[in-house]
Amino acid sequence: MVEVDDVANLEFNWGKKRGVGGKRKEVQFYESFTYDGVDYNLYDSVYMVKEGEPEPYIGKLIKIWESGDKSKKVKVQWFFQPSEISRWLDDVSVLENEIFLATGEGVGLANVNPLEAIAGKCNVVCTSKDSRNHQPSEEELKLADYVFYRTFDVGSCTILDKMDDKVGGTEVRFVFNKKESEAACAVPERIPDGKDEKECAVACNAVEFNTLSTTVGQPESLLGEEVTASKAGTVKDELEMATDTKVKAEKRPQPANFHSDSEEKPSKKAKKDDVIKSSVDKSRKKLVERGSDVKTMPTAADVPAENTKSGNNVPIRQAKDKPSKQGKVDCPRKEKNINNIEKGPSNKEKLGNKTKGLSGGRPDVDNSKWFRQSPFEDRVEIAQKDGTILMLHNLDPEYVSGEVEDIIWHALKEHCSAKMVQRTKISTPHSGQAIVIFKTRDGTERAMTKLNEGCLMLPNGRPLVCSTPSTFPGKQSTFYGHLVIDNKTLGQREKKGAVSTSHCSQPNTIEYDMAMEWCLLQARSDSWWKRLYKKQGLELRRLKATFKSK
Amino acid sequence: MEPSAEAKYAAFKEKVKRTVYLENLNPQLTDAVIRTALNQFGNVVNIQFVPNFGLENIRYAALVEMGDAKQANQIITEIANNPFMISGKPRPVRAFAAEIEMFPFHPRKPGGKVPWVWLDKKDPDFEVAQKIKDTVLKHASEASSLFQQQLLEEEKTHKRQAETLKANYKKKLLRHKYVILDKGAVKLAEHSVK
Repeated sequence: MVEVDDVANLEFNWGKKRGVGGKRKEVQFYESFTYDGVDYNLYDSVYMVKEGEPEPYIGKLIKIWESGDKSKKVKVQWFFQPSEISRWLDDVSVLENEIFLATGEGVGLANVNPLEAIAGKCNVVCTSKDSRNHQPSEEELKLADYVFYRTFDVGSCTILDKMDDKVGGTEVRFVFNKKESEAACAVPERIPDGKDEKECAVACNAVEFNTLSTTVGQPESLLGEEVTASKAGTVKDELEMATDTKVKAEKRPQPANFHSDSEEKPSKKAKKDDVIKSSVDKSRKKLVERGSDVKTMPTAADVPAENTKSGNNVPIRQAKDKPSKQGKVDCPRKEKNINNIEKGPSNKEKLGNKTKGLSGGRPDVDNSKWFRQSPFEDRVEIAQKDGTILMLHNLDPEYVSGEVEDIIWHALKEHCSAKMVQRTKISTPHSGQAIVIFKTRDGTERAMTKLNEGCLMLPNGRPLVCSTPSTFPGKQSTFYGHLVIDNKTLGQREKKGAVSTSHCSQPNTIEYDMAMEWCLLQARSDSWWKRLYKKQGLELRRLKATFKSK
Repeated sequence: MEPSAEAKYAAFKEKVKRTVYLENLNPQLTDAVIRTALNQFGNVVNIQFVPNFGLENIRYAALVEMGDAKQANQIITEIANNPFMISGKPRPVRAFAAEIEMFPFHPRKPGGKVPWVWLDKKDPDFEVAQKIKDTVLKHASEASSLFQQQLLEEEKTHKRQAETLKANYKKKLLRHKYVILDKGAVKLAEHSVK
């Protein structure tokens, strides 16, 4: 090894070991190394220089080893520049600094090269909108040398947009962007090399949940001390779990209770501390169990999130009823109120006071969706029984739930939580509706009488209308149109295939005829709705025209 | 370096362009099924089911976010041209371009303030406003009765198709039996000859 160093005249040091291989265990695999003063890790993107070629190639280190004869080698999975695959690009539009990762099988996917061919690190950012990918910030994008989000299959010579679980043999999580702490401490896969790695690993877990990397130190300190039981093997499982659950988490409806009441905040804070303690205890005990991992990890991650105040909080979705989340979300909404409502300066102050107690998260409307889904439905049912629910009509369809709540608060002096009814193909295009749940039955009745007797005018000549929804359609309403054949004689295989797959119907089947019937019915109903809404629109316009003041 | 409200709104709008509104879904459909079904068109980024409450019974629908607008449009045109069925036949799903109001939580329109005014009873516009209110409520009930009508029509079609299906199935069974019987008879004949 010394010889090589002298010849190359460049500094070299091996980093973390990974495992051994080869017939006589003479091959040592590594995870990282330092070459010419630069740290390289497995799955980093690097420039590879080839003799005679003016431009360096870009590749991803997918294997690093030193063989028995002390020669250092790397296996590199290639990135293609658009110029290299222009023949197959056709009418595909390419970004300025876009490259394509090789996938598939065949020549050109990857090569083994001497380590000394590495010419430097390359900053490649993955901009794939895949939910498993950590979305890069604007800064990261600016600093990137190259971006990629598509792959090039070397076997079929085609551009692919989506990525499966493995890209060219490399697991997809190593293809996507590393989270900052991962970059710092390398993905711990097998043999841990002391405490550092453990801490890193745990931090990786926490950060995997996309708590933006501003304070990586914190998760480590919070969890590193407490979590001693983590073994590397389990860590690997967790990481995998993390990616799995991350994917799942995003799809699952995001439960969390919304409280617009300020009194609950102090109690929430106390609860937060408990959560921290309990989560850490839990994580100590339960690191090995899969099921509970799903719960404990987000709680552990919750804490750093609370502390880091990452505004872009798409993540940490899973845990139900986590008080820390409530507090956080609550605050952004109130802050929004301050920004957007003009009238009632005294109200502004009031709101201001409410927000004081809390960690001021950046108001982020986009992400309030992750705490709202199913509980609202449950609350609707409860509210119906309690009589605290109202339906508001004639809102501007572009309003957001938050705006509705603001209006109610300012105009009616009532706390409420509102949800705009999502538009569907058969909703009226002229106005929007919202379901509003008040805090008390009295409040509800007060609001209703005020709205019915008086006229609360919103812009564009829209008086606010309210009604008590007498019946809310149940969740299991009949859905017509899906027929099932009870065929015991026909093969089992056929039956299974019939239900679980999706397909386009072929014109020569009965199924097609029926489908066409449905299409016809659909077209007819579309025209009914169109006519109805046209008529309604005309009526409304005529009435609004009689407004004298406008 | 946080994106402003306008930027967020613009970003959201961009997301809306990439999203397909899928309707007429089987109530028991899961996320995974839709994902597999639409993966043939491109990269499914996210799936959100549209919850079912409101005066009108919102049909089972989902908002599927795709990798880019081209894929989304492709889905919409494909489904419009051929009846595409997901996990249940023969009723095909419908796909439309999503609109921003279809999303449960979209960012506020930038620059939006909501001025509101309580109208005085003596205000001449008060009457008009009351009329509007009544009309709005009337419209809502019209819409829901139309919806009920639609459901009835669907039920009729469903029943009709079920009948047709049963008849066809009977035909098939008969043929099946007949063929087997036929074969059986031949075998018996062969056997007795031997």
